[in-house]
Amino acid sequence: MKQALHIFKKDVRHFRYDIGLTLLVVLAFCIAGARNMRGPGSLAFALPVCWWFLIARVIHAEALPGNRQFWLTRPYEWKSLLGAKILFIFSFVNLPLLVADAVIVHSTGFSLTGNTAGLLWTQALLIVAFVLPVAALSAITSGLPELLVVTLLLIVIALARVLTSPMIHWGFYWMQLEWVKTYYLVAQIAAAALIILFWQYARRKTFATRIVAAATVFVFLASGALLPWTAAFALETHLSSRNLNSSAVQIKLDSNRKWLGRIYIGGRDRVVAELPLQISGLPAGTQLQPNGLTVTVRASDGETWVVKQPAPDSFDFENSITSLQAEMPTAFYAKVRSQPVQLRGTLYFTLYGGKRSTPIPLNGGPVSVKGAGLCSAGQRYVLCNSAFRTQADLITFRFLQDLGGEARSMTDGISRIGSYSPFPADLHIDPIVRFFSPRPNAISAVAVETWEPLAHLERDFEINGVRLDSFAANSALARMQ
Amino acid sequence: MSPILQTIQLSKRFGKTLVLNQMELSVPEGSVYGLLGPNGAGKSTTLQILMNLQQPSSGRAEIFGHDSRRISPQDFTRIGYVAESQETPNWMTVGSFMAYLQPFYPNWDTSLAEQLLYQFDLPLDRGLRHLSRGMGMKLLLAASLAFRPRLLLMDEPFSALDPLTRDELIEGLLANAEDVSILIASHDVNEIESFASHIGYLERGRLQFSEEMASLAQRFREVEVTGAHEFGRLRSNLPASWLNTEQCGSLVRFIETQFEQERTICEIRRLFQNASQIAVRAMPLRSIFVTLAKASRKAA
Repeated sequence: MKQALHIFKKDVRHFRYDIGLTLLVVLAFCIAGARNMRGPGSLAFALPVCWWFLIARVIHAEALPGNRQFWLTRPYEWKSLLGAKILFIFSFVNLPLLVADAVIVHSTGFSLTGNTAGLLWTQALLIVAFVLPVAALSAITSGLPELLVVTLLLIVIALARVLTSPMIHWGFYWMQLEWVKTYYLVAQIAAAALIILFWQYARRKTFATRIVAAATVFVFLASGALLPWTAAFALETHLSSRNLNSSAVQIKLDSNRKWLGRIYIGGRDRVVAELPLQISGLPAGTQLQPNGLTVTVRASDGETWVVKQPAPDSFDFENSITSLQAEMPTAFYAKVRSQPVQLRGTLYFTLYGGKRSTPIPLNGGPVSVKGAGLCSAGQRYVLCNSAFRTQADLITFRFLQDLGGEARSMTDGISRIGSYSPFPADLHIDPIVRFFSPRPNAISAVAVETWEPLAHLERDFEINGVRLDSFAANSALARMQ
Repeated sequence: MSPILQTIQLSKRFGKTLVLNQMELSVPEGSVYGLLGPNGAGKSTTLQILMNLQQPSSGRAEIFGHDSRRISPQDFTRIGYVAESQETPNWMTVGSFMAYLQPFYPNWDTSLAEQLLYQFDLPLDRGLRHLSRGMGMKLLLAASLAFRPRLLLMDEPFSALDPLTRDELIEGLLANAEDVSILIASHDVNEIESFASHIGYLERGRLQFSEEMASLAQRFREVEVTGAHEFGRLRSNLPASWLNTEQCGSLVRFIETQFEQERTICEIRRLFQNASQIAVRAMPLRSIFVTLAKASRKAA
């Protein structure tokens, strides 16, 4: 401990200007976050850059790769050296953010005692998702130029991973289930980073730890195959313990709204068949939000095409209609379009219930809304802030508009869906999650409606005798044909 | 004397290049051991393996009886290491560098540190980045002697230093390292001839010999035999201990590597019966190494 403190003091003296700059950026972030309705803006990007620089500098002060550094032949205890670096990072990365988050959350109107878990969880996420990976990369590089090249390379790989991720295989962004993928990836990266750090500090095995880092990148690239979306949904289903009788839920093709369906060209050699599905038999007082859909299109000769679709869009809540979007090769469509096909699949969905409507005073102070955070109605916007994470509830603003003596109730038309994460904080730097809606003219009242997620379910369906070309009547593809 | 450090069948390979080849080195406690050899012979690699800066490919190295791969921070409190290639924290000053190192060593002698800095004429407020090469080496030596080490390893400490700085460094070393075992790697025999007690010669990764300076100086002689008339063609079965044998008419010259007054003279008289004069001269260390290097290359 004595040696760790000695090294820590040396690092503080050496990096006093770097520390000062970082603390200034944290201060600006804190002021902007506390005063600005739209949050800290670009400062939320400047902070990680400062942290990256500070962590790299302090680790490289006693660089581990190489054999020329003076400290290698001095009586350094590896635990003290690692302890000194941890103490430094905690003091000048974690602690300032902890204080800034507390100030921002408090000044936004949230109680600190009620958000202690979020405050601490944010720190845990900062450590596992940022500090550990940057520290590990710094530990296997000998200087800033080398680390910069590696970091840029990893950013390019991550971007390439996002851009090349095909949407038909559940897509890259999993919406409400994104937290499962995030924690899965972060856990992998943090585990690898811990192995690299401890191995490198204890034994200085640079070659071996670089192999671990490279292997982690390959695992990251293969993570889509290693964690299917259905596994994430199964986990979510397991976590939602609510026992809800949903046996009456049925899915069929909505033949009354055939006009909602269409066929269009979805890309090179691709055709998309968009078909309306009617969901019936929902338990009383609930509404359904589809999360994902798998469908196998089977031709009469047995040839099949499998579609995996992330959260279906074009959903009509009031009539419980969702849209099946089956993207298929042009050749397959040409073969099956005029013959009856079988659609067999599974709909993954969440049932919401326990609707609450909380009135918000016009031009008044913020009101605490369960499931939405602190909401207020200003002159131009209706705004809700939640601390550290997006809510799991469905949130809609409802306005009572006074049109020449005639009152009309309307929503802003947006059902905001947050994250199903069971943890008290999401992975982002700004501690306040803000969402707002423009305030319509001549309104006399505003209310925030929230629906609580009750259960995550899946239901199989089978629809026979579907003729795809019967949905092409009004589409551009039909006109072209 | 028991060895304070040794290498056992030590080999080191960088890719396809074998830098050390089953090297057997033993440095007795209390000795000043000069590890000599040409550039690229493997001297620095040997020292780096001893300091656990490199890993052996096979065999092992031991310091204080411990495997060098397990060398502990406690061991480092008793080992000084001075190398020309060492990177120091250039943002520090001389004073802050010494002050920073002090708490790492339980035996740090503050007055000795001050005395060394004074002796080496190192200003406390001078930044390390502004030190000349010679001053940098002096600082590293001062920082390695101030904790009164039991063992000091020096890798090419005097190379490219001006004669004055080199003498200052050697004086500082000799005056303050009386009880210290020292291993100095150098390619220049003149640098260490004056104070080394033991010498090892490393070439192509192999230790060609290793012994006490006194015995080395004792057993190497340059011999010149003059005949009454021209010698015949030299015999092919001359003693193996004679190196670099040359003949010119009635004069034969060679280096005897196992010189013993009586035995060597008898041998010469037996082989050159018409010898009229035998001149035996002691050799400076430099000549001994040139002889050995030539012989080694000839054998290779």
